[in-house]
Amino acid sequence: MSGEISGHYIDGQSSTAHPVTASLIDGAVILEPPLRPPTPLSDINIGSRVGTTPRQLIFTDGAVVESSDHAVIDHWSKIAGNHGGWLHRWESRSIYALVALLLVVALFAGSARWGIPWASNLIAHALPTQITEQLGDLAVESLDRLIFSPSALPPERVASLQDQFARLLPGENTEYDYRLEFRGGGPVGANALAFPNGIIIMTDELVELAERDQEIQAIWLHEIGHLQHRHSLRQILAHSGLAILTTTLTGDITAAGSLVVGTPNLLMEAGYSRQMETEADTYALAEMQRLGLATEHFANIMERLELAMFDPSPADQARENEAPAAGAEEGRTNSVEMPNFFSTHPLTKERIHRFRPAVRSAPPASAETPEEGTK
Amino acid sequence: MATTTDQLEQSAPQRLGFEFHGSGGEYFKIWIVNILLTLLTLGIFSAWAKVRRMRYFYGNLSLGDQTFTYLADPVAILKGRIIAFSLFVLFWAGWNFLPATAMGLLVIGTLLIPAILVASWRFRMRYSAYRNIRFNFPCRFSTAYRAFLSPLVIILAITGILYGGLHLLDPATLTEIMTSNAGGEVPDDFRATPEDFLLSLVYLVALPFVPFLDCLRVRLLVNHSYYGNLAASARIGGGSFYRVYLVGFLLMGAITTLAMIIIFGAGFVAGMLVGEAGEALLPLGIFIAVLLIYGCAIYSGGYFRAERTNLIYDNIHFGEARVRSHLEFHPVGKIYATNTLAIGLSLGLLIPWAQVRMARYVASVSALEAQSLDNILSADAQNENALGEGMIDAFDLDLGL
Repeated sequence: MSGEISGHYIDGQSSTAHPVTASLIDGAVILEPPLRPPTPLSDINIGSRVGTTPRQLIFTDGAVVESSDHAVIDHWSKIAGNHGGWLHRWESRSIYALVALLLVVALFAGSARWGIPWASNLIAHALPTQITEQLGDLAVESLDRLIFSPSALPPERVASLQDQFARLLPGENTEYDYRLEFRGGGPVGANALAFPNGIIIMTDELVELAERDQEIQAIWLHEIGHLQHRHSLRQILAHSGLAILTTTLTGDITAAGSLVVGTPNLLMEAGYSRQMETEADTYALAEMQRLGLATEHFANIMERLELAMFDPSPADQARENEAPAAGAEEGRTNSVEMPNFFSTHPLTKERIHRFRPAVRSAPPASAETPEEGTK
Repeated sequence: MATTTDQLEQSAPQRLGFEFHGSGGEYFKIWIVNILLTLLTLGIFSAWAKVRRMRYFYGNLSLGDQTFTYLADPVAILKGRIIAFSLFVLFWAGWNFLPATAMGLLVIGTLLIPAILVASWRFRMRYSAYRNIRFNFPCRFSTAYRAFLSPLVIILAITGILYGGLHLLDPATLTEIMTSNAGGEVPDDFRATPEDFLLSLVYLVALPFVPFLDCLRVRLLVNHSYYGNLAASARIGGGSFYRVYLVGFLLMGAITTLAMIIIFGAGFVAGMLVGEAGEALLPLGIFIAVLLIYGCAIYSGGYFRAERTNLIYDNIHFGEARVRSHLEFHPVGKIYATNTLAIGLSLGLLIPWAQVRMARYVASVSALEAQSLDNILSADAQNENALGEGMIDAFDLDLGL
């Protein structure tokens, strides 16, 4: 009634496998040939099932009967009071697997789209800003060595700009010790970068490109926005989060660096970067309105930057910048204005659009204080 | 095939084939449930997932008429993963946020390799069984460190001689290299120190030793492994590792270069023929070309993968028995290239199919030559708790042999 299984008996002392049949009679497992005395089913541990791989009936002394007669073994397992095996039931039905698949896809998409940015944001703001200070120092140092040259701006101009910069800072509401520095941009041309040690570097070229100081202020606010939102740290966290997520799929941490899974991760990271640019824009927009600066200025300087980029004379090819985790730079846009999933910045047109309609609600440009007037 | 239970004495050893019985569809269901539960439990289930995965692959691998068994306890794996993850976070934080400590972490990480190697392989062996007899790896940490000591001394000696030589021959250049980034107002911590330079030199000098180190690693792992009371041994010289590495990488370089010339050449000719009209198709053309070249690179890596595996496994002996491994360049390259393509196009969903496909191929070309697999005795009685295994049990990492 309870059936019979065939398989091998191996005593655990020697590798010799004896072909046997085992049957369950009156609650005891009886082997034929009788290699051991009848054993109560309650003294036998029945291994759980994985796919159709052979099962083991394990006796207390370590001997086993191995068999693939799953139907009978499942039945015995139930008689023994073992109602486990739910994992196998789940794994063996296609419809459940399909449900699992849909859930996994949803969880992956959700984690990548919302979970990771949310968690990175949370962690980044929970950590002290000092954690990224060394990174910023190192990035500034290496850019000074490789890219930048000392600034050639006249000292009185620098003093005036420093003065204006000090008035834009978020005051009490920050953990950063903000410092403004100027450099010759060299290959990066008109550009501004924020570093996680609180240093904002603006190139002489960008200062010269600006027609009014308010445009320069708009750029600073955007860069301060990057730091206020801790974008460098969030980028590092998001990158690691994606690597961990990928590892659950591939079971292999090194796979995260390979081309096959690296490409989707790169796309996601470009997406995060665009989100962060938008966040920094939002900060700049709000601060400009709070300070009574016409938001139009941001739009103007962005347009001019874009033009400078297409104008081959002063611009250099080497705009793509290294140290992506350390510096959030401005001035880099797509060379071709079309939606680009690999792009780290949103379309300039869209960005400008946010600052143009807002101009109507902001005080008119003429209402600005005179000392911030045109260059 | 003769059944392994034959007790007849035979003069010639029998050849017992390995066979893999898993199927991609069946494994997909196990795999997807594993991933779902791992995600839902924030990684905790990954230990159980590993056990189910290993049990699937072991249980479907037969040698003669018996299959392998994976016996590890998920809780032990979970403990190991918690320790490993904590270490990983420490290293990650140091690496990302304290660039000044990165070099130190690299040294510590390198010095830990033998210990991690021994601990994880011991875990793997202790919980692998065939015919209810466990494998074992009773190797002490000190043995592993001794094994790697001589190459370390040689590498350090060469570095010392090189450094000294450079210093004698051209001290000016050396000073320049070491202080090249010392300009500007840079805190002392961020200048390249002579220690940094020396360390880089050590890793550079170590590079040509990689095949030899690989050989040492394989010999260490195999020569201290047991199946029951039967000791495993590998008679492999470093020379054959150098041959496989050298031929492997030359072949890969040659095939990939050739593919590049042909594919870009063809693209160029096609571009000339189509003319201006085809300009819109250029990005697509480049994408396809890069994909093809990448595929060729993976395919040509098949030689190295096949021959290295053969070199290791075809030389493993268990007493009188010998493992045979006859992987071939073409099928391995083809499987790797198409697996990669399938995984990429399916966004990872074909990973189970790809893994099963590879396992099936490897098993089909592997065998064991043995008189008999019977009467091999369990060694548990002698080796149980010979080493502090409580701690070892809690350390499991996949390093892969």
